[in-house]
Amino acid sequence: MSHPSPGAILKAVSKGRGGIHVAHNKLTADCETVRMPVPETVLLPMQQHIGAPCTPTVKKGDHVDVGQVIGDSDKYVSAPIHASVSGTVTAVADTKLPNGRIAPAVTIRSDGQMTLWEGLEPPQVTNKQELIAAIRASGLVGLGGAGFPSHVKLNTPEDKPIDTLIVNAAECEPYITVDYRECLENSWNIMGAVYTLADLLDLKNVIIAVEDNKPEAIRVLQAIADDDNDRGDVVKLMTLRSRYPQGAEKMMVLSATGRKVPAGGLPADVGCIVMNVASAAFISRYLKTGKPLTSRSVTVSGDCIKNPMNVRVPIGTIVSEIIDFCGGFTEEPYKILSGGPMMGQALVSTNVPLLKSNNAVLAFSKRSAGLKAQRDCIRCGRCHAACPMGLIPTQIVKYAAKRDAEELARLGVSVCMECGSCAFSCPANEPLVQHMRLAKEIMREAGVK
Amino acid sequence: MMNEATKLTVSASPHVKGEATVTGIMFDVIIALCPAAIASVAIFGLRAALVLAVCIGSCVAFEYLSRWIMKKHSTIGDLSAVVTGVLLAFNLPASIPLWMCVIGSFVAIVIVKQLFGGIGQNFANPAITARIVLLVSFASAMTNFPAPKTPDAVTSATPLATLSDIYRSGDIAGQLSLYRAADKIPSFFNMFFGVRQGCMGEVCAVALLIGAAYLLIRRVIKITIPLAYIGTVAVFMLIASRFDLAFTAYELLGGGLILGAFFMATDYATSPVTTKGKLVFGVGCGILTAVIRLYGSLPEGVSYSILLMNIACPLIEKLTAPAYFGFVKKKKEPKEPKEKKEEKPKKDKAAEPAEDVKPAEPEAQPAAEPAEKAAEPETPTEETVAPPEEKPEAEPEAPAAETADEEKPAEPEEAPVKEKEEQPAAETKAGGDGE
Ligand code: SF4
Ligand code: SF4
Repeated sequence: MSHPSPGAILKAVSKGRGGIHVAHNKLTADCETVRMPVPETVLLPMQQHIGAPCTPTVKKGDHVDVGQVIGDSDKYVSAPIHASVSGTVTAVADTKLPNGRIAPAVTIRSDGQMTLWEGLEPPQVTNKQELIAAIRASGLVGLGGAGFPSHVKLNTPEDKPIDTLIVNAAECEPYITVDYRECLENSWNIMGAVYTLADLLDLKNVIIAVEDNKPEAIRVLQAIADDDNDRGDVVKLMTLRSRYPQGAEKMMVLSATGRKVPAGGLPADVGCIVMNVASAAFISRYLKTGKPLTSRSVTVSGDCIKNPMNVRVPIGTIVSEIIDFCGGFTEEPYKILSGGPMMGQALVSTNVPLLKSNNAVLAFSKRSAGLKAQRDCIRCGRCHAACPMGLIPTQIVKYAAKRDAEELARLGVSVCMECGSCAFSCPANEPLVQHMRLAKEIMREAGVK
Repeated sequence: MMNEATKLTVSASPHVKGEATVTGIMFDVIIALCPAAIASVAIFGLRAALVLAVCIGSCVAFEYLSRWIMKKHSTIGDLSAVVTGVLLAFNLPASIPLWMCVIGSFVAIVIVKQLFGGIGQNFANPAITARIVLLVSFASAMTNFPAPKTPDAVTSATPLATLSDIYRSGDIAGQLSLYRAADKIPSFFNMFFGVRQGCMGEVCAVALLIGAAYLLIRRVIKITIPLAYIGTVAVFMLIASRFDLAFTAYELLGGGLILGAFFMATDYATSPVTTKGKLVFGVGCGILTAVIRLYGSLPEGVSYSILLMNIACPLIEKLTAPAYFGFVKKKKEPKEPKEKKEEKPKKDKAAEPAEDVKPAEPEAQPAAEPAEKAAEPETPTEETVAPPEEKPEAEPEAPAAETADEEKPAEPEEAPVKEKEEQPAAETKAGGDGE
């Protein structure tokens, strides 16, 4: 192993404010990712991303192979859906997504063969436009949880030159360890992606950001960053103080470059692209093999899971089957989350498919995730102190109750990223994130931006 | 494994919660008040314990009764009524008739707190308002301070009244040393340990500072308000006395400044939540206190200052609204990202009302920028501030002086408040002594 060259690690300047300490609870950090046996059926909703839903391109009875397109859209902000198992389409019907939305979905009964579709071949990529077209075809969306189509993110307008790519390996949500395992298990792919993107997008800096509580990942990533010292030292490693929400895009840009993304803007407005480390590794793998996004790693954890572990599953696998594969529950779960405890979504039922952007399935008992009695706000200001965006949630609650859209706009509600730091800190147990969503809704209705 | 009938709980994120609870915070405040409570009993005898007990008991009882009558869930469990009771007792002389304590509790809990909606909703500090009501109604009982139960106590006017005379005489240094030589004013040692006349809880500076240190370490309060408050008073007094250190030290230790700055001005409900707001609030309290003490007809002004700033608090919060992340002042820049997004036509129209809002507060914003910068470096201080047992006046002077200067132009609301303030001062003149 190469020694960390002195000064090669960028210590993130702590310019950000707010944030909270959350118990990390990374129970699965040392669990090598296990491949789950092929499920009998998968359910593939046509909307697994932010943007326009896809239209199914297969019908009941069709035979499909792994990687075959089964849904696409002619809209730009969208990502095609591929079959994740080989087998027969048994249904094309509307289904309810974990977030409550209804979308058409394709059910495939697996033949157990996992035959690759013969049309798959590595894309020819020599410039930015080809790269973007290839990434769209791969169906990649942000694997860190947001689910924003990656090609849209990379296709920055000409008038906004990008000089910095930030590879986000911070993984600041408690429990989740998929990105961490990605760093340890797929460092070659991460390295490949970093170089490819740096060349094709003509970047001056690639910064791999990781929280300082993951020494193993730092060691591996350091090696990647050191490896290009002779190529002009484009790639750097940056360690971040482990503090939630360090992994949020805007926080990341601030720590890495000192630039502040304007309210309502994107990292591209300040010359940055932020990409999740697993997404980056996927790009590299895709460019080599041409196999689109049909499976992903997911952390199955929480105090109700018998054997917490990281599993690689075909997309569309039913959540309850994944849980069963991990030994099922130790006790009756009180809450099951798709995603992390800070920003994840509580599931109504485990009979839902795993989507492209789901990085975790967590099951909690009442002990650890029980709701606490709500009291009156005491105006202690902890929510404001915790908010990385500098918002004043307690006042936002007040004006949301009055439905005063103008005041809400003045208070900057629209920059709230629903990270949950405020609600975490609130001694009165106010459901502040819910209030934030309500406030945004009020502004939307009033047409105030 | 899991049968479908299992009911899963669905709620908004986040799904984990931090440790802080309202009861826990109030409990910390009670712990922080204990040293001063013990000191008050040690200094003024068991009568002080009786006053404390009556205040706490009646506050809790009124809290329970008013919630019960209003058919709202009981809130005595959050312990905030206990805190109010202790603070009220701290603001009374130990010799006060007990029925007056009950009236004070009634004002604090029923009128100031519960009629406005309970914890967090009151516009003014309950204990301070109650004290002022009692002061106006029962001036002599409220200003008749018993002597400390110690042999070497100075029995004369309160130190602040003496200081007021000294200031008026013009020859501060000379007069002060005369008074000290003649034992007409307590020694520094007695001032620090509370062997002097005054309200029950305000006399023992050392006990209050121990409690304040606890609150800071537990992060129940931030240092901003006390620092700005005491710092501003210190600067004022230094200038007014032409840099007479002894006079300034007496002013800082005398009266209810330490109690007020750490325990009353930091009340969550009635002080701003933002750092900048806290600075303005603290400096405002400091200016008012200094002005009342030096030029008003009362020797003491802590209660009035805090009450007035409580009332100004919503205005301060509005004028000092901090820039949120990525806030852009000019119209130019926020437009760019808007144009970038796809729903361009809709958004441009929608942007117009927003732009009307922004120019509406240009005064607050530009002034806000430097103040924010001044405020930020303070944050580390508040974390390392562990030993505030050392006299706070020694250090704060320098930073407070800076902030005071910077803050002044930023508070247009200051001027009218100051003038208004002199009227209530005049009313209680008859009582002769707010102390
Ligand atoms: S943290 Fe909770 S109690 Fe404190 S001000 Fe914010 S909303 Fe109110
Ligand atoms: S959820 Fe929104 S308001 Fe709350 S801390 Fe996060 S960004 Fe701030």
